Amino acid sequence: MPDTGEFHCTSNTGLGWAFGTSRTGSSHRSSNRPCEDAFALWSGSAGAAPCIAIAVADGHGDPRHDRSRTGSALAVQAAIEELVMFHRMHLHEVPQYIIRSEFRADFPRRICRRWREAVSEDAHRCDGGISRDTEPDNSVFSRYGSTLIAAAVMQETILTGQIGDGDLVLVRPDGSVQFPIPADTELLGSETRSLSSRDAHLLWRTATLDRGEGGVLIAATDGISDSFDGSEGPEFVKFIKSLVGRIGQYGVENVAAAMSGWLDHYSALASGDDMTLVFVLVSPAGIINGSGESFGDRIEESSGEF
Amino acid sequence: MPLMLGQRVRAEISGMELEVIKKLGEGTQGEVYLVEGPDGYQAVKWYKPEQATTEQRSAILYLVRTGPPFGAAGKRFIWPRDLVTRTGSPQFGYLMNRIDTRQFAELGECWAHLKAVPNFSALCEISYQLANSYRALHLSGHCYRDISAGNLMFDPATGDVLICDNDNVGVNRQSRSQVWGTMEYMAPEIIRGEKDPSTQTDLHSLAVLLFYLWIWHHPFHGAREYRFHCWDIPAKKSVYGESPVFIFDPDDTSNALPRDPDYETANERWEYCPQALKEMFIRAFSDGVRDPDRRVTEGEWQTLFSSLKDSIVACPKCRAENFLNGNGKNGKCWHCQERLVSPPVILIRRPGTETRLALSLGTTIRRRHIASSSPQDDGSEIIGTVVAHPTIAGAAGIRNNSGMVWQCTFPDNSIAIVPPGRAVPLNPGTEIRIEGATLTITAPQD
Repeated sequence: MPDTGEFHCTSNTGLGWAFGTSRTGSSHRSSNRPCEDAFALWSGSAGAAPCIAIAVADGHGDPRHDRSRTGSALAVQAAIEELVMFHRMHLHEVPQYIIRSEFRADFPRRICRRWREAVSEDAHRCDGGISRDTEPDNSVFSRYGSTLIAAAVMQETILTGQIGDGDLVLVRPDGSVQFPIPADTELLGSETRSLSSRDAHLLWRTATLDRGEGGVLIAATDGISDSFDGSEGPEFVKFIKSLVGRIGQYGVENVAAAMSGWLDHYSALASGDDMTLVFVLVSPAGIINGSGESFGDRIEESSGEF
Repeated sequence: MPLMLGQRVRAEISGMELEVIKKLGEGTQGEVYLVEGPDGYQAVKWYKPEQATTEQRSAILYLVRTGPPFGAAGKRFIWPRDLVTRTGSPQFGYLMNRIDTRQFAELGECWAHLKAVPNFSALCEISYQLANSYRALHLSGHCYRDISAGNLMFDPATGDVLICDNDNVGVNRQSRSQVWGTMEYMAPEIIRGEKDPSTQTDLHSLAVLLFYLWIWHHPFHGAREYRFHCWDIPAKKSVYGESPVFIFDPDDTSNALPRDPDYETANERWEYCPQALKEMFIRAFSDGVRDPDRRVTEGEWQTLFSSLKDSIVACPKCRAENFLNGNGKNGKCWHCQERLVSPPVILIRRPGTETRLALSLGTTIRRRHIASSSPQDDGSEIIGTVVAHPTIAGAAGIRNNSGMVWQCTFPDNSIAIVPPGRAVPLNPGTEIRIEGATLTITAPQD
């Protein structure tokens, strides 16, 4: 898992490039609180089929969720592990519609279970008193509470899922902006669904997309959209479009290098919250050595796998 | 290639030109677009290149020519209305009615609290309509082959159902399909490679879907699924096909639910189920898995959900719905534990059958209560409704919503004619004759 303050990237020939950074919010810095966001990137191939997996998590970060920094870190790790395992299980002769329907049916249940297993292990390590054979009660999971956004870019398909707040946006090369996952309109203010919620596996919202013409897939914690006018707000959409425009204008390396400073600026001026942003330049399907040229320059090396 | 906004496509049989207005969504087999033509706004499902095969084209043309099953049961199918093509493209799609997604919800949207969760009454109606529609489809000689929650939309308030993605419907035991459904809904004999999809395997998928609707869980996701760290195809084949064991099988607890927060809701919802429904699920996933001839039929589900809906009473304290003699333990409300007061009941007798309908404000008497339903008519027409008296507090009556005159015999043997729009007082002993049925109001029995 990358440290905060650095911008990390990973790539996969044929699919595109992924970048991410996490910044401690200005209000957290002033009160000496750590960044409770986390992200992870992974790229690789199995059976010659490439995959890029990303995950972004936002620990709840109040006294009731005192281990949410660990909770968010475990969440992104569990998400990448589950996405990679899912990819490896669907390598050959599996029609796309099966991949999509199995992701929607299985991923929420499996990722929640994997996260709780990781939390149980950590609680056992920290507290000692909890037997490995007994499931911790819900209050233990609540201490690790976190949101999670996960996505996998595969050869034909982009799989996405989300529990809790945060934003997942896909900007297609024609400039159209899609929010593939429906907004959760029932909750008010800073309330959010969580991996530690009762029935967490039922609270996931998932969507599957054609890789098609590719585009820029962006996953971000709510600290960013809250600095504008919230999820799907016109100002936030303007920010997303300007980000994609800058990639095209200045190249991915320059945008990646500047991103941490921009996020610090927004945090100081607006939400004060931790901010994490991951974006994937998704190459059009069918491009063998694609690298998102329509949006930016090519980067020769990858780094920063979790 | 996907369709572009503003592009024109052609409905092959009607010859209509349609303009693509916007993309509505992406399914597993293609994209869905809003289109505008001479008949107003409709939707087009446009197949991905790998799905746009000659066989699929023939299948769509067959379905367009055949049409959906007749009557109310058939109207719930979002059926292909025409083949849609684009000049210069080998791809194609089909025209269908568009769905009002503000009114209709997917089950997953209710789980995620994005849309309202249906109450017991709506759940009974959804389940009844599903069974009724699949019965009509099967009687027309077709099988669906891909029954799943992904193809179901419903109105959480009323329980009205829409069945989507009907392009995989085929002639029972004859036509082949590109889509065989997802493994979690497949009958075990398909997974084992012993049988092709048919109306009989549809019955298993329907039972799984009904279980998901009521319990929010898969009937085989118990200890065995929990132990698989890698949920790959061999693991799925084992759990769904080779040795499926029902999680609530009273005689085989080898696949019971583990102690884990994931399973609390499934356990709770199972406890809320009335005994008759539990017994039907046990049969569907024990006997019905071992012997496909013993599966619960659509007609049996239909009868069960109709009678369950008729037995719903509201708790006098918290207004939670309870099944009379069903889910409340020891006559107490499942939600607040208040003692339930038995409501008056109407006993409906017609040749060969006798049914009871619990009466409270808003209860509806439907055509299916007084006459047999048919594949063409699901009997949902409202004949009468329990309404409050306009001036006397606490008094109620049954309003005649039918187009016919009712003949009533009161406890003192006096006879009255009740024309449409008027109401019969809710007095025990009153008898109403509607067509060939006799309806007798009986007092609450504690």
